[in-house]
Amino acid sequence: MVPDLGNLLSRFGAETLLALAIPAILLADLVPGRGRRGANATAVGLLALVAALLLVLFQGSSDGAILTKLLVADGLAKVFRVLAIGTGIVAALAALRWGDAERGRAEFFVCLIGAVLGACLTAAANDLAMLYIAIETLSIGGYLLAGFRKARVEGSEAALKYVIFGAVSSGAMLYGMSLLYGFAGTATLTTPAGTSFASLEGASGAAAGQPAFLVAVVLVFAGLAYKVAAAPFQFWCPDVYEGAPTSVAAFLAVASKGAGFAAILRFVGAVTAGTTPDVTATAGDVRTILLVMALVTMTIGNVAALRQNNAKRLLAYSAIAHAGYLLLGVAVTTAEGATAVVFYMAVYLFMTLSAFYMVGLVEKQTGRADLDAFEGLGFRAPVLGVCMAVALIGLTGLPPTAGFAGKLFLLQQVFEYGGEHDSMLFFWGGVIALLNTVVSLGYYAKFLKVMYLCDLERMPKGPFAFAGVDKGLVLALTVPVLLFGLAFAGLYDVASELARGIFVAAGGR
Amino acid sequence: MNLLTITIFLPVAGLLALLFTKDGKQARWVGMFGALATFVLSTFVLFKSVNLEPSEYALTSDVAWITLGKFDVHYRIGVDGLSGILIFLTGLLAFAAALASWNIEKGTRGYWAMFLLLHTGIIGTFASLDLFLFYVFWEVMLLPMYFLIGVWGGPRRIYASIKFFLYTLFGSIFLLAGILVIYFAVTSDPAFRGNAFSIPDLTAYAQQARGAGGILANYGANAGLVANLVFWGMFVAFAVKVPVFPFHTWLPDAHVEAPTPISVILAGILLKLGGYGMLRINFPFFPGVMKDAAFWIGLLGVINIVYGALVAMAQTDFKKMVAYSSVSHMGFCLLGFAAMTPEGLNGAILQLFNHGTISGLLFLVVGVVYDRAHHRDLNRFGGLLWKMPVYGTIATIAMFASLGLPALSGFWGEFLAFVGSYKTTYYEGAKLITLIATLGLVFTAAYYLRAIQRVFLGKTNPAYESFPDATTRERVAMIALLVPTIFLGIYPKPLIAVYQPAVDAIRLLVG
Repeated sequence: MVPDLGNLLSRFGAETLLALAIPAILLADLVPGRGRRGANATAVGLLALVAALLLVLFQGSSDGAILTKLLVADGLAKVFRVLAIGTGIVAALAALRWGDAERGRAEFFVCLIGAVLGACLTAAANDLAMLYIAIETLSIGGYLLAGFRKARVEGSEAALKYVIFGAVSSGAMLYGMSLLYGFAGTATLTTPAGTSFASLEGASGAAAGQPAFLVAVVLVFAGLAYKVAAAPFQFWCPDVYEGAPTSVAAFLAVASKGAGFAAILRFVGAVTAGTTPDVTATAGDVRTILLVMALVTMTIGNVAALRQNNAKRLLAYSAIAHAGYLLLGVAVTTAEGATAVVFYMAVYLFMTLSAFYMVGLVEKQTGRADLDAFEGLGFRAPVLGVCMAVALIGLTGLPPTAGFAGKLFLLQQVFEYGGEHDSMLFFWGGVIALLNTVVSLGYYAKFLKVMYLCDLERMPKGPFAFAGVDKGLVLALTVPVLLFGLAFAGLYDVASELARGIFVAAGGR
Repeated sequence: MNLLTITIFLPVAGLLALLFTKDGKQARWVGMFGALATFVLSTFVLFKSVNLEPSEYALTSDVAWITLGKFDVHYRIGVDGLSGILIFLTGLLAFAAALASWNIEKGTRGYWAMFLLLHTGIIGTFASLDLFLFYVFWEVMLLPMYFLIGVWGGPRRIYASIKFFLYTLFGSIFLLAGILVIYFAVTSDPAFRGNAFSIPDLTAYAQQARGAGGILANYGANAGLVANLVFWGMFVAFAVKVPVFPFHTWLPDAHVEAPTPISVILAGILLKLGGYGMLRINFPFFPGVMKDAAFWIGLLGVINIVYGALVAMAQTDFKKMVAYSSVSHMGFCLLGFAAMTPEGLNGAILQLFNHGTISGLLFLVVGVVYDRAHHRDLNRFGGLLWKMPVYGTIATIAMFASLGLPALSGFWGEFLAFVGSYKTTYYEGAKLITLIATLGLVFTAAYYLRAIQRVFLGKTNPAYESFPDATTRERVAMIALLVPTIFLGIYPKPLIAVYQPAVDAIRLLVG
């Protein structure tokens, strides 16, 4: 089949644009400008990101549309591409505001756009080989960004750890993929409606009986778990978030995790599809593995976060814990579960970006990222203090924030699964997940404590001076957290529409 | 617009008005006015909640809020006698606590913002007839309370506030789990025709579904087990608030560290939310499980009564003694609940209300002396009655009311709870449990009489010779709570008449 250029551009215009933007940035950097060095590259980079976002948002009808068999442009791909590019824009702005990119703006944008491109392709990949390449593109961009401040030892350490863990897990994933290809005879993941090519969805029926099939699936999980920072592949996360520039940490916490979850949803959907007994049995095992992984991940993240005194490390462990919550929605392997994941990912974006943005702001002003740097923030910067508090309360999952709605839907799925399948495992899983919320309050409240419960007399004097741009950005990220906490029906409907295609062919229902 | 809706959200309007205040002085007036208006409105709500049929609600309002197919959450509110008296109590204590908050100087605007927000959460919880709404209001109370204790509290305020926050959240997650399980079980149940979050619908359904799982009949093969787990999970959620032994340890810390007005609200209202939740949700949803659980609830009640009284007896800190007396007195509510007799329930609900006014009054009493002496050590006072006659008299009456002296309101709740509990055939062993519980009365009398003797009688400590008597502001606050204490002690019938239909409803549903 000859790739149809028109089809490519209408579905993946954004990715094409981003790919072209990379050389364009480098060229633009060579043109001497009147402003400071890198101004041209910055302009091109930002323009490309915004244009790409618009292209994805206004992409035409997407049902069943595919580009050969490698990429699909369905709702799931769309939402996670929007998420990746949107996060990219916020991270770029943050980096510019805080001087994270001062070593070379052109280079920074090349790495960032490369990573965004990788994230977009990961979200749309419908083929094991494509998925691997996309994840590697995302990862390599991430490695470079994590070590972008070369002069700082922590930065280099972070990048190196990220690379080593990445190499190991992607090796395992590649091995799993090759096994799967051997079993199924095809590397394609799903067969979208309206097409008829062979895919793992159809072929896993025959392959699922083999014990090694499950091993192959678990090996692929290794690579994907690394991307979303789920146990037991979460070790890199705190060190990398701490060492990397804060803007990069925010990007990794949201875009990278989101792309990983898009891939996990698609992959789990493919290997649990079918209704033969073999597939049903395998799907049951996959669900149990995912549930246990989810519970272990959130428990590790939450318990470890309790002892952190560095805001970035604390948010890193919180990001690990959230990978666990999100995995709950995958573990039930239903379209509603996928909807809950998409919904939570959307609200998680706002909460996490606003929290990271605040950390970056404080870090820039005080030069520190430990919790004490936030002392009295609630009184020294009342508006942004409230924004930070909203983000933290949202991450805890208390009403009336969107974080509550998100957790509600994830947990509802778990309890529903427990009732529908007489599974006390899932019932207790839901209870453990809820108990984790209480544990997580321990460290979010510690954050709030530093911000509000400090000694007013002994508090560091002088208000924080935050620029209007920063205030506007944080407020813009905070409003949706409150808005979707009080009226989330609309967002849920959108998420449900976008996640519609996932798990429709799944067995075990 | 619905009067109840106005009552719920009036404090939020006050919160918005606070944004336009220039300094703490203006903020204080806004807050004061908000509290007073809440008190007035809550009185109207009380009058609207009389003369209802069992399971009938007044001032109802039902607006669709979040609609996602079966996930159909409504803003559904209403009051019956039970919620009516508790909303009135909230208004009354808001007024008294606002008067006691007059001297808050630090971060005044923030204080009043949290103070008002707290009341929206409390009144909203009492008024909710939708599980989801109930949960949202329930959690909305947490944050203001965390800040009120944590920012304006005593020396160990940070520890106390985080402990309070963690304990309460620990409880409420089980409530959330219960709500989600119920939601799934009833929406997939063809026999259920109603809204999955509507408290009246679910209560009505609990009457038909008398199988092992009750309203959870459709929750798979484990429905019976899950119904038990959900019942006890919800019980824990409410028990943390009551607080029931062994979930009570947040209370002494929070009460002692909180500023006086917040202690008043904590003891006076927040504890009542636990008892209210049990009566409104926990028991009526699972009448089958309740029958088996009654013994254990009665046992927990007696542990609360005796253990709370014994620990209170060991305290030298005035405020801590009052805090533990709350643990002890809330035990009577559990004892009455478990009995499920008309007397038992009447006594328990009366105790909910009267403990609200009496313990609120006692915390005000502690606050007055602490403001003057800056310590609360029972052993360092003496003879205050001679120096501060008005204050001393009010304080003595409050303590006698709390220990259950006849003709003061504390007596009726305890008396009826005992009678109801002794008579009940609802569960085995009630007589023995009741007899043990009476021991609590002796201990209670012991620590209160000792406290009266050490603080108010005897020789005046020379250091405190110059203490002025209670100021007008303090007097108004204390008398506002003293009036119902004396009136309901002599003539409790009007209050009982208000919530009698609610008692009948509970007995019909559960007993």
